[in-house]
Amino acid sequence: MLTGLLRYARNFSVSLLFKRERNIVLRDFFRYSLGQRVINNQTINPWSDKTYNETERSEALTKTINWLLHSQASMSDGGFGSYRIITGWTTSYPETSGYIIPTLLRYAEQVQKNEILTNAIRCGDWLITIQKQSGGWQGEYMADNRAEVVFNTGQIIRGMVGLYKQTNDKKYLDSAVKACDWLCSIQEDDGCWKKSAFMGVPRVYDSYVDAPLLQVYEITKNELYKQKAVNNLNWVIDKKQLENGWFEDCDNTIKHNNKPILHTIAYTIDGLLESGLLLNDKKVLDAAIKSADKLFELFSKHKYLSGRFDRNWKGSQDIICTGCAQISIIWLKLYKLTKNIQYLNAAMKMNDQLIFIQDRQVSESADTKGAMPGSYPLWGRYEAFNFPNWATKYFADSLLLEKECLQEAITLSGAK
Amino acid sequence: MKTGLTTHSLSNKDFREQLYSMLQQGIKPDFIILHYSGRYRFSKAFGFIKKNLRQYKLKSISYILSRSKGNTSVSTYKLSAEAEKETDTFLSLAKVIPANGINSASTIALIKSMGYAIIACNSGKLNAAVLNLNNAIFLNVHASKLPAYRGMNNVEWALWENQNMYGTIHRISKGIDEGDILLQDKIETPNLQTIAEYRAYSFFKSNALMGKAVKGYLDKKLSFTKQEVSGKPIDQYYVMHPILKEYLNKKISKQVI
Repeated sequence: MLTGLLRYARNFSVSLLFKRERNIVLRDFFRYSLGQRVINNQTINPWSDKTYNETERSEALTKTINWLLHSQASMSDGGFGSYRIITGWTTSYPETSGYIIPTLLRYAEQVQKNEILTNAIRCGDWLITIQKQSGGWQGEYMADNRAEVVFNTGQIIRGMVGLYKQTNDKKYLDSAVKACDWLCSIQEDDGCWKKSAFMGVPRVYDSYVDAPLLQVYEITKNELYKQKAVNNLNWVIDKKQLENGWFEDCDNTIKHNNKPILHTIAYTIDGLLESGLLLNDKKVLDAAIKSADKLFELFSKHKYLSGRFDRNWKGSQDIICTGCAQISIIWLKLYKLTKNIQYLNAAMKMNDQLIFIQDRQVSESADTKGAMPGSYPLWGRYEAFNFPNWATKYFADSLLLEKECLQEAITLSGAK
Repeated sequence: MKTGLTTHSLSNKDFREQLYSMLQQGIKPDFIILHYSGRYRFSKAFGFIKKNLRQYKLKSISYILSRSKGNTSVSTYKLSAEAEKETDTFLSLAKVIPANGINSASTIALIKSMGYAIIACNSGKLNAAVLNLNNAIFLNVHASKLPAYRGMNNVEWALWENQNMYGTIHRISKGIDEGDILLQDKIETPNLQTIAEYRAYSFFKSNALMGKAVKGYLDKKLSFTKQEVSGKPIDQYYVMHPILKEYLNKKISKQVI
């Protein structure tokens, strides 16, 4: 606890020393701490009712992508790093660089900017060079020099599959196949991953590894990939999901495993949802919908989602921006699946909050402009004072998918 | 069985339309509960109420707010001058009971003392203590089809989904718009220009169903029908995002509906 306090004291004091950083922190202080009002014993947050039009949404997306490209340009390799207010740029993060690739590909397609493909290819080529002999990829940032990790490997497969589909270059598929073979070789008999898992313990958010396994199965028709994915999905649903939709063993820490962060809850749900769609499996889809609907209920009631949730879905901690964007994506996918307009409506409201957070309205350097912080306010527990690239990536994904869904909805309604 | 209404203001548009619809059906409500009575008592002290109930309307916050919002549709779909006069005449003689908040202990005791009653309610959310009163049936006007369009902005959502307009009179229950339905009628709707106009028209027509519903119940020609609802939050409707509203307005202005 003392270490934490000292860290916070250091972060606050250092950030207040420099003008631009001070502006960002003070801005969050004023709009978050002083912006809250309590009416009828209910906290009214200024971010809960601010809305943005389509032009402002497009501008937010452009800023988001520009920051991601700036992140890549700030690295010496082809990967993507994160920006920390106190210490500056990190080294590249292989896992998140992997799943940023599909974001860039989708953006390039949506706005017809083919030059962005070169950024995605540069990243993919770099990731191939750092793939381990086993087929896996290391965990955490490059500077951490960790061993290969199941979850991280799964996310890089997403990038490889995206690049293979885009370029038809077999080297990306070969890399993905090598990674899938490794994942299959180390799965436990009950379907979970323990060996080479982060912290060495099984976690349900590995459902987010199942989807890329299934993507590679769709291309290669290697039944083993499908079988291993299904084994893991069954383990998650049958052994770890409660009746109310909450998941056991869902946090990326041991200490707080009784109240996982929204970020890893969202990984788990999205993994189930993507896999359910790829398998066309009702059981898997229903499991995803059960949890997604619970979060929809909480969002509708409180107008925001907390950072952590205990087994009774009681929320705690400040907003975790990544998790919010991921949940928005899940609702948008559910809109596409069910055509229930309330999913789209809720996702748009969530994105309003995220645009509000991104739109700091202070003078910023390119290192932070357009970036999504780990938490709101900036000093929240998750990634305090940091702009992790995955928060911005999921925010971009959410805005991209929202645009697609909105077009679909207005066409269906005849409002176009 | 007695009949009654609740409202926070005698100038409330919905309240007056519902009251008039009851008068049209030959029902003269036995009581009107005017809650949040501080304002009422204040006005009474200055002699406004006794002199002219319509003057009280002019002073009411809701009236001023509706004007300040520039809600032109309110003036389009409203009671005629004769209807307003008839309503005022009735109100000047009616048993108007000032009360505290609708969920307050004193109001609950008051309703208990009324005996069996069917009450058109214009009072916001009712607590369990009020809903559990076994001598009173509280009715709500819902300007849309139930159970299809439970929740908020139901007129907008029905328009978005190209569905017909309906008016529903249902019993108020714990869940949102989940209570048993007494009357549900399709509302023939002309082509209008804005969402606000559709809302005003739809609420105006739905309020007009209250008299028919209460009369039907008293004459034993109508009874309550249970709604089949999932109870899932995703199956109800919420405030429509402004971007969707903007597209809906464009759609309406093109008369695509």
